[in-house]
Amino acid sequence: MNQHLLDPSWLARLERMQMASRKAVSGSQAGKRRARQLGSSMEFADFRAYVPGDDLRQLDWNAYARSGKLFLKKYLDETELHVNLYIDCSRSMSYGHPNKMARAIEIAAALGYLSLCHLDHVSVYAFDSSITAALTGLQGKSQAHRLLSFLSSLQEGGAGDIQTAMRQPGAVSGKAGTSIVLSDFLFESGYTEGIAYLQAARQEVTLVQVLSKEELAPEYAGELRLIDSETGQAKEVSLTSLLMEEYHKSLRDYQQQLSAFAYGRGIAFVSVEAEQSLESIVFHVFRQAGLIR
Amino acid sequence: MQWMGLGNLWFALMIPAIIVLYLLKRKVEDRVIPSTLLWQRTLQNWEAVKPWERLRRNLLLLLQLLAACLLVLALVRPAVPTEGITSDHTILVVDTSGSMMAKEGNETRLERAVSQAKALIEKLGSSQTMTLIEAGREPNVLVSKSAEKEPLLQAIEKLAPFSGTSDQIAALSLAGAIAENEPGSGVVWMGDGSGERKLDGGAVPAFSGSFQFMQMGSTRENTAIGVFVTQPTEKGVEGLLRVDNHGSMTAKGKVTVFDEQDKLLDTDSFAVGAGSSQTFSFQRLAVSRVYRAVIEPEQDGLSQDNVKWSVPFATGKGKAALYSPEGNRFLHQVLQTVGSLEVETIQQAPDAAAAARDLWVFDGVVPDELPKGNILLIAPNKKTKWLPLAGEKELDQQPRPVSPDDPLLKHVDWRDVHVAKGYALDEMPGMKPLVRAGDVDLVRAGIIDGRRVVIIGFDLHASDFPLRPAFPIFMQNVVNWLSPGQTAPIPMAHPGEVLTIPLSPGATTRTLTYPNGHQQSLTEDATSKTMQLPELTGLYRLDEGVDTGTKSTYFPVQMNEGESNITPKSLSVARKNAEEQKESEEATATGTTGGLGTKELTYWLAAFALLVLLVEWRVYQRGY
Repeated sequence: MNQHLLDPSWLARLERMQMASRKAVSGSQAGKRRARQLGSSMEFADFRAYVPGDDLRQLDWNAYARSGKLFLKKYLDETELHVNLYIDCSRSMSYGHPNKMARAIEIAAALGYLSLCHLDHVSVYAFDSSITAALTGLQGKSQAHRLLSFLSSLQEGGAGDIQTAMRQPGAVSGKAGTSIVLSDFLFESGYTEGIAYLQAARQEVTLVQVLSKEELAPEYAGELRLIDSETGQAKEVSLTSLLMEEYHKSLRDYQQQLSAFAYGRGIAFVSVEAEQSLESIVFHVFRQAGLIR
Repeated sequence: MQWMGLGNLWFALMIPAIIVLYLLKRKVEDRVIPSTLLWQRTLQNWEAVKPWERLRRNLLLLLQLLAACLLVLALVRPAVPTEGITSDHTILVVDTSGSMMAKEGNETRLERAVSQAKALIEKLGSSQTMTLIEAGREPNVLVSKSAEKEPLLQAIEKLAPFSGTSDQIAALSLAGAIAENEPGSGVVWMGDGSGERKLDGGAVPAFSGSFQFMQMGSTRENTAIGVFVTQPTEKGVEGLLRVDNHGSMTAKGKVTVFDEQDKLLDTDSFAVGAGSSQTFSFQRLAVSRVYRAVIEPEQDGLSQDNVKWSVPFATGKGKAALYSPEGNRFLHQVLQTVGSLEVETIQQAPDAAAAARDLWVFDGVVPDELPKGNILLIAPNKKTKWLPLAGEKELDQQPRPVSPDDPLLKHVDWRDVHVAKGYALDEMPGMKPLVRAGDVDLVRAGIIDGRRVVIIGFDLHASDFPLRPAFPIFMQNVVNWLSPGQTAPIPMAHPGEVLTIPLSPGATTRTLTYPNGHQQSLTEDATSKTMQLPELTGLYRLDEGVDTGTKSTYFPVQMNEGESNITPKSLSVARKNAEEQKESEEATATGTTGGLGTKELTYWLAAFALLVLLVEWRVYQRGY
């Protein structure tokens, strides 16, 4: 049943992809990931004597000062990547066809699966206003089954609040890595601090905003009292074309704000539509955004 | 500012109705959505211009109220007085027909027209001229193209209404003809447009200049006596009276019948519905030579039509003398039968001094001198100084009516009549041939020496005429024509009409007394007098001195019934060319409502209201 999350026909295709990451993180086990730049990781490995032609930047000037000999400091290769997937499970995610949460879980499954295929460390966190469920430390393709069954078991929660959720103990792993947040980012209390907190934990953050068509192009008309699914707050609106225009403007503004915030902090930002097919999200949107390659 | 349609003010109720519609709570539908965050932001942006938003939401209401107010305003038809007249030469036509006597407030329509005309004249510019036409029975140019105000004002002052109907078509034609000759002319018509013999149906004269109709009337409430006739019966005089209500409300009042001496004979009350009539019959009225019926309606526009006189059909018989030396059974018999005549058979030819008779019948004899009274002469076989007899002639042709439309030949069929011989007569002035056989006039009728004369130019015994149905019919016609005054009263007449008054033959004095007491003596020694009646309604009395004393005959002259319907109507004219057609419609538009120099704002207001509605629609569409 877990296989339902991902279409077996394109699992092979998925396997050929890998998460793009600028960060190289050392690990105790060797990963499948090829190091892009030898010795660029922060983890010290060894010294060796300088041979002309070596990169002068890698000379250990402290050793030279002490010994008067030129040594090159060698670092460990980049081997593996810690991939943290955050899935917003607040109630507002349960709208759309398919609903945003389902789509987010599918995306998480795809990303998690391809990460596992590359022997990356994968952790999955579900949150609303707190971390409601977590599965950490998966590695290897053999763990895919666990990942998928965990993802299938996720339930929708209450009101979402990324700010408090990210501050909770155990919300972030101690290891530097890549964090992908799958959410609609419609948080009453905002998102900036939560994301900043994540970034502070040495995470290369990617924001994936999942919005349903209902939010992107609502087809409401007449006199309505709009009730928030999470807070129960009501707004009375009489829908006119002019108000609709205004709504679209607000939506654009909100997304621009989010992407501006992301850009300003060096965060990747992708917006997807829940109604889009998973295949096109993964192979087109994510690839185009440079999230995977 | 005038309000021409204040009655429409109740349309103002639509204003509270609109407000009530706004007071009704809006019906909202609940809908759960993922997050109202974006909507909050939307509405925040919305509310950032909150005074606008509030105002705009109410804008729809305000616009609707504005449109409603404008419509109501348009319905009450406000009009602003405009300054004077614009044409260089104004042809002012004032209707003086009977309906202009109707009261509008404290003044009559004509008085109103006069005061408004005066105001128009006062506003005449130094280069403007005016022609004043009275649209009377015949249009009458009172002042022609005068730039001076004094003669115009004097002429206007002298205008008086007459009881008849004005000839609108003639007046319009005249005004149009004047306007045609004077470029820059405009016609201003002051009147109420009501009455019967007016533009309805008639050819509407075409105009080339501007035409403005100034409505002088606003009320249509009028109650009139439509018909009042009396007739003697075996039980007494019976009167029949019809009260017509031309108005839009039920008319109530009292109807009273007086006799000659103004003694009250009978009274009744009436309540006649709008636009209908009620008929009263008065039984056994005391015998009087003339009756007067008066109605006193509670509301009445025109008082002149509230009184009517009636002269009962005479029951007395006329006196006829038959002189037939040969004897004529047919003639004797027919005279007894037709008409109401007392026939006296005389054995001697009357001389000039013989007592007057209403009708003299001579059969086979011709008197040398015509006696006083009308004459029926049969088989004139003798030539006298007044009768040019040419001789006797055998006839071999059928009698043939020369003028079949003549009242004397009505229903008379000559086809079966055969005449063996007739008496040929030379030309006689005043006599016209009615029936001819060959070149011989068989019947002639006309007036000789003030007398009505009928000559049957053949011996009845020389024909089969007495055996035919045509004979009694013809004789009836003849006798009626020869003795009109004695068998029927003088018919009711309208003022200004030409009336033939039958006179008693042989009367020594004849005096006609007008309703205002003026007396006119008639000197004619004739059997009838044709005269044009003055513009005076009321009861006329003809006193004649006859051998039995003074004989008084009454006849009423009453207002035209058509004028009793005082409902104001508009008057419009056709344009000579198409470009001016639009202008004419405008003229009519102002004309139907406009008073003197007023410009109605209705159309502007309605147009503005339409504009507001369009704006409102747009606002609604864009959802402000």
